[in-house]
Amino acid sequence: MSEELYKKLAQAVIDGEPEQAEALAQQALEQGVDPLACINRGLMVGIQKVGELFSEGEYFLPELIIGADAMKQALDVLEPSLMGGQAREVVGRVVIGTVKGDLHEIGKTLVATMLTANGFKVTDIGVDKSPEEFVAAIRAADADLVGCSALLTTTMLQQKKLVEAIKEAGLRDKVKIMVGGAPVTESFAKEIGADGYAEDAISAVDLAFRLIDAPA
Amino acid sequence: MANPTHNQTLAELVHQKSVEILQEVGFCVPDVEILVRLAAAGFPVDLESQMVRITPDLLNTALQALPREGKFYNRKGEILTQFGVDSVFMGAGTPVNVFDLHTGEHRSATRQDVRQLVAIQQALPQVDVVRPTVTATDQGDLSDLVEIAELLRNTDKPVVHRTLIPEHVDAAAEMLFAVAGGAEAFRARPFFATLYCPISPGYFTPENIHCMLRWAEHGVPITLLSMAMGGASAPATLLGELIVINTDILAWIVTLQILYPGTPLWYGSVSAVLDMKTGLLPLGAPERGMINSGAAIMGHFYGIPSMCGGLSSDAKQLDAQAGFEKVTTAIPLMQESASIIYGVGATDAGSTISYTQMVFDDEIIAGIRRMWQGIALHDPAEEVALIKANTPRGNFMSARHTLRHYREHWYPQIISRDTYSTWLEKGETIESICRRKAQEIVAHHQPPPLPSGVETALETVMRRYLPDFHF
Repeated sequence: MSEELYKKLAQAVIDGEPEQAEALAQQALEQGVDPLACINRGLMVGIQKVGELFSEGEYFLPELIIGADAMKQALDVLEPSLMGGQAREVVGRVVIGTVKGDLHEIGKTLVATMLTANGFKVTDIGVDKSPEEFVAAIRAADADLVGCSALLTTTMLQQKKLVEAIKEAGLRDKVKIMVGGAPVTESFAKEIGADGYAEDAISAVDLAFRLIDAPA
Repeated sequence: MANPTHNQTLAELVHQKSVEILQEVGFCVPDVEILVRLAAAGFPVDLESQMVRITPDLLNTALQALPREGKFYNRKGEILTQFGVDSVFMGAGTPVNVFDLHTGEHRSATRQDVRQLVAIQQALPQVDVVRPTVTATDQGDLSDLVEIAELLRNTDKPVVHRTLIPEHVDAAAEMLFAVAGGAEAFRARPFFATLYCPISPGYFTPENIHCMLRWAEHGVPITLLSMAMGGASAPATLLGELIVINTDILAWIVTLQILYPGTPLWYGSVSAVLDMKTGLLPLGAPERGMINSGAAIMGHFYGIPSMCGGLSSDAKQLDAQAGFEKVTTAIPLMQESASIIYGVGATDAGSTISYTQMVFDDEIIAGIRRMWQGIALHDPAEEVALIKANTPRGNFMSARHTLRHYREHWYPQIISRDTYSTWLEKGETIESICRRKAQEIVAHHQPPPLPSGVETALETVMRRYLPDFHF
């Protein structure tokens, strides 16, 4: 019966059915099925399939996003019920947000979704976030990676301030810094002392794997 | 060609749905001071959510106050006759990157690029309205004022730009009025318009709102320029996206007309649809011209000028893709008689300005404009007499009639019509011809003279911010 449930969870992610995924997760808990197995043998199998379909050009971003959303809905139900010592395996911990003075959300959210779909644990702190707010979130999430987005030529300099704030907080050796956004370039990233720049969400995932030295 | 019945049905539908959204949900004004002002002016305001709604009364009052006679002039006070009749073409803007004039290297743009790109737009006959086209990244927070000063100094064509912060509006207006010979003279014959973009749906930043209000105080034309992204910041259908575009613009038509009745407003859209494979915003897509032709249609519906993004490309070099995309994104805008087509010089999805593309765009526009004349109707008596006299097997080449009319046909400046061997012998590419032309224009550019003392007046304004500023 558990096997059947794992399959259904995977399928809910593949089909992009967040409500279905959440209901199945609830059902799993009620029936006493191991939540960690639901994650590893259900949700992760589903999201990997979604990733494959995306790489093959069968799925586009909307299918990927709704698939990741389905996974997240189910995770929100299952994770609090993991036994002590049990933890979901994550590739890395990422804090992501849009810099101070900038309210553009879509690109940053897309990167967050892509990272989630690739097994990262993502803390999305939202838009218009000061360097101090980033630093606090890095500490709270015990992050290995931080991603900051700026869409405006006027706000991209905030990325430099963030790099400096991370240094001042003594966290520079602990986190890798990725920058992105329409006006940002590779040379700008180097100039401000970030670890990497990605020009779109797909290359952001490759970059994240490279920076934390994990196999993609 | 445009279909008036379809357009009227479309515009009425989009207008009605926008009104419904603005009455039920409204739009966000993230500034307490302005929320209080709007509440006092009769808008239903929710201070906590910062949402503002409109009422039928406010809508009627605003649409009655909206000036319908949009005119645009050059710096010399001459009217831009095509404006509002046929499409005029404008420089793109304002990314931070440029392909270098000499080496083609992709690098950050500077004040020198602004000056050179303005000089080229001044020289190109098909460019009607000039923009800085790039951001002067070496000028930091003062790039906006430096760019406006360079525009006023280096071209006498009509110009369009914006300020980054509200505090710069007064200085920018002071420079405009110095050139015009006073605020009244400027307002009588405006040669400058500004533009501000909402964040779709339903949001303007406080900085942009304050900039717009200050420009409105000065009576300067403002373009409400939507940058919606279909499938991301607006629905994925073109109709759904157009409703978002229109709702964002109508919200501020009403707001600005209630607060500053009679402010000249233009209807703008540089929208596009998202590429769902990559999450990037392609500007060379057919949908780019399609969605922004909707803005031209809505501009006609409200009776105000439209500024529409087209003549766009995602190409990184002057190649077949650039040619295809530039034309396909301009055609729908020509078809709906957009007042301004916004895109000269842009490439790389609007992220980089190219000197060579800018020169080639002039060629493209000339060709499209010729095509747009179609087959004109006139009395063909002379032609018929000529045909009779030359039938059968006559030659029209030596006819006086031919001599009088053949120059109506288009003659390219850049494109090769040579035979293969001549082309081979010349050894030139489109790219090399465009680069040579751009370099020649820059080398020979002489700023058109300003009235006596005006150049010094501009420098005086600029020196309040940059003590060493000089042209």
